[in-house]
Amino acid sequence: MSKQINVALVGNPNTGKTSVFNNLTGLNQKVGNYPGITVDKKEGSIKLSRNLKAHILDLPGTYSLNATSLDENVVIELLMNKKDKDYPDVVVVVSDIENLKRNLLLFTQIKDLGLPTILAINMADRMERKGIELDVEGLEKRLNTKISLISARKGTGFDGLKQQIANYQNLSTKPCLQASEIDTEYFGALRKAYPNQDLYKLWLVITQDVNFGTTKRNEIQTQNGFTPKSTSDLKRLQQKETIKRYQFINETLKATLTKDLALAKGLRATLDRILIHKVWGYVIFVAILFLIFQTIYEWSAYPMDLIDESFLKLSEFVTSTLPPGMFTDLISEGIIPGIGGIVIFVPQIAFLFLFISILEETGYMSRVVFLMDRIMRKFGMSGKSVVPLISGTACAIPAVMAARNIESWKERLVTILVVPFTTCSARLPVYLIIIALVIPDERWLGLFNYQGITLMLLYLLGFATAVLSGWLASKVLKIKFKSYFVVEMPDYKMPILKNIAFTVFEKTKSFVVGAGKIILAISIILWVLASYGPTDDFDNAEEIVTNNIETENLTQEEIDTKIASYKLKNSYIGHAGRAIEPVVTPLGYDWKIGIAIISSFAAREVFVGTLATIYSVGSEDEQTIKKRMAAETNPVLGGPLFTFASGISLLLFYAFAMQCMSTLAIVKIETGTWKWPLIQLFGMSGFAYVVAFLAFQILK
Amino acid sequence: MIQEILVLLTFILALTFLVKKYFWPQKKSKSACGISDCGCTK
Amino acid sequence: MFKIILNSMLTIIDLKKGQKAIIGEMNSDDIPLKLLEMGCLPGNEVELVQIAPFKDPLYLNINDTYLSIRRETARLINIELKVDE
Repeated sequence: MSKQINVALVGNPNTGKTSVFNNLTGLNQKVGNYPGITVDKKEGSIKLSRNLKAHILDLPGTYSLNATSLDENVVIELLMNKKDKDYPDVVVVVSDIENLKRNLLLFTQIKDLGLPTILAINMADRMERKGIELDVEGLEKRLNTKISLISARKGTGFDGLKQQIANYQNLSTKPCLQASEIDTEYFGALRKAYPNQDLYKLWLVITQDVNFGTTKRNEIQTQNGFTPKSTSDLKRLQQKETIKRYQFINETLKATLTKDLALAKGLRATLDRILIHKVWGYVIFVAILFLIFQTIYEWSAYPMDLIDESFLKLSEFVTSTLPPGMFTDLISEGIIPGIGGIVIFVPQIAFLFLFISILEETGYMSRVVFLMDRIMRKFGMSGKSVVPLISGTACAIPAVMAARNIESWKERLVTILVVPFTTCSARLPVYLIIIALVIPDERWLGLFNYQGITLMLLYLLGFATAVLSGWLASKVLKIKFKSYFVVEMPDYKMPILKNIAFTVFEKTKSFVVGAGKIILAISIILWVLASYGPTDDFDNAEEIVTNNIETENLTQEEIDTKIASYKLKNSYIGHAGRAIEPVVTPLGYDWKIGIAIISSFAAREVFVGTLATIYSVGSEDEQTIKKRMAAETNPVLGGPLFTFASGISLLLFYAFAMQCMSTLAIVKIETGTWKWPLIQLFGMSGFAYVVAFLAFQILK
Repeated sequence: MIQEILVLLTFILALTFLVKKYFWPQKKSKSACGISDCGCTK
Repeated sequence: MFKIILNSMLTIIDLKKGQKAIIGEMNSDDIPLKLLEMGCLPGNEVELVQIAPFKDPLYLNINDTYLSIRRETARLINIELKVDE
């Protein structure tokens, strides 16, 4: 009979834990969420021997069991909860050879939980180059564990590691540090109050004050003469514990590890000199950003065109093969364009995640954080806010989650609040189609394309608004907070291709699946609302239009178009649209754009899809949306609907309005209250309305 | 006729998905009580 | 008025680029635990590797761990200068 054991991978950030996970599981992995919270849960399975399988869980990276973020909290939650279905039979602590001392802190903490623990030392291939020698056997004895020297980059040492996992039952569970050593008096009293509990676990329960809303641990009650200590005293004890642990580690390593310090530096110093230089540092950062955006648009254009055409062909194919009827129309006019509207983003999102993960893997991102901290603090944020702001150009949802690394609550909140101003990829199709309609495709000084310049200005506008509103928010918000900023500056490394491929694939997939379902559902609903009407006017549209005298001299084709637009006007969506028309007319829009804007509140990218649906309902020929939009006339002013004034007004509206329910939902989860997402919704959208109104009235 | 029914079904499916996604109370995670029973008032 | 010098001890912000020192007693609750966990403990060596362009944050090497912290945190960490060998 085959048996399955649970293995948990734990380790500091920047130790290559995820590459170790990738090496162990290969493609046998999936990424999900921990129940109720949005922390990535990576798990996979491997076969250790003929009748032993292992379920491997890659826990979030952490420096210690004292959690300071939601992600880190997952680690301690799991390791303390024997009832969890993922509770590990064996823990593998991944560390890297160059930072062994620091990595061992976490190791000793986990060992003290009484779990069978293996120490996997990664980047062992760099030992010689860095002049490091390690007495593995001696270290195993002192730590009461088994050690594997591995290299995720070279793929070596994994057979040994698997062997050790398979023999997990032989591992010693002796702790490294007796909790009572930290403070005899306090822990003695604790022991008396809870004679049957593990002291170290009790201690962890007492000290975990996680500021993230979801899990507040109950204070241990005064019981049997045990008086709880003040927060300040507890902090002292935690400091004492850390010092004790390091004493143990230092003694252990003194006997087993030797380092040739002359070899340890080198590349770091050279690269740092340039990359965080007071001038070149910024020049390089801006150049890298520019390069990223440039390549994203250059490279994505081809696959995007291809995707666009393929979906058009697919629609035609469906119309010509399936039996005619309402459901066929729903597929070809609602569902297929709906899916197409999502898939078209895949190239850009994938490229953006590709660049971001390269910047993170190489260690460059920490330098950016270092360079930008002072500047970002002027705007109420932290150097760490740069990562969310860059990610925000792909999608605000992962960006809001990326703000978790920011330790001080005020800086984190400000970052979350302003991130939706950055130009996310969902705004892009809206921008592209409107720019194509109202900005001339000509060159300024024969060099720069006006359309390109407009797009770049919109991006800059997004960043500028985010940063300025950050400044405003930090002035308005009265939150007392302790500045708290500790960033590891990891070694520079060549990125591992496999890791990057996995990251890009996972992030893109979760965007397509997550946002995709919503967009699809909305396009179905819109199509139905545009294809049915409440009154006889809708059902008898054909007769009404044909009997109209005006249509006498028209061709059949022109009459069909008239019927279609009459139907649309009298459909459910038409009624709703005309009801809100007075609100959008001052901005220079008609009711169709109004509908598109309203449906955009579910997700911005729905805009183009909505117009596509509204304009294509009932029409026979396959015209591009752009041509249809260009042919629209303004119901109030006459003349073309999309003019320079109304176009700019629309661009500004989309730049500022908070139109993404998924972002609002994630902000609610991350901040724990509806207050902040509601402030975003009304604040941003109100501002957008005013700006769009002014723009149209001034320019028209 | 069959086509109309299919449209209705798809429509209902899409609507329930959206309602569930945005207007249904989110399932709360059961707060783990750490060690088996200590410090946890259920 | 009396002018009382509360703390004449040196802290990390007094270091010059490239200078090394030994971390002294830690007397503030405001020092984040995470910093201690990264190796910022009494008796360990600290080197100021770089200072960011606008004088903040500071890039340190503590106990072989490279990290950066803000000036206001660095101010809380007492040091003893190493006497030249």
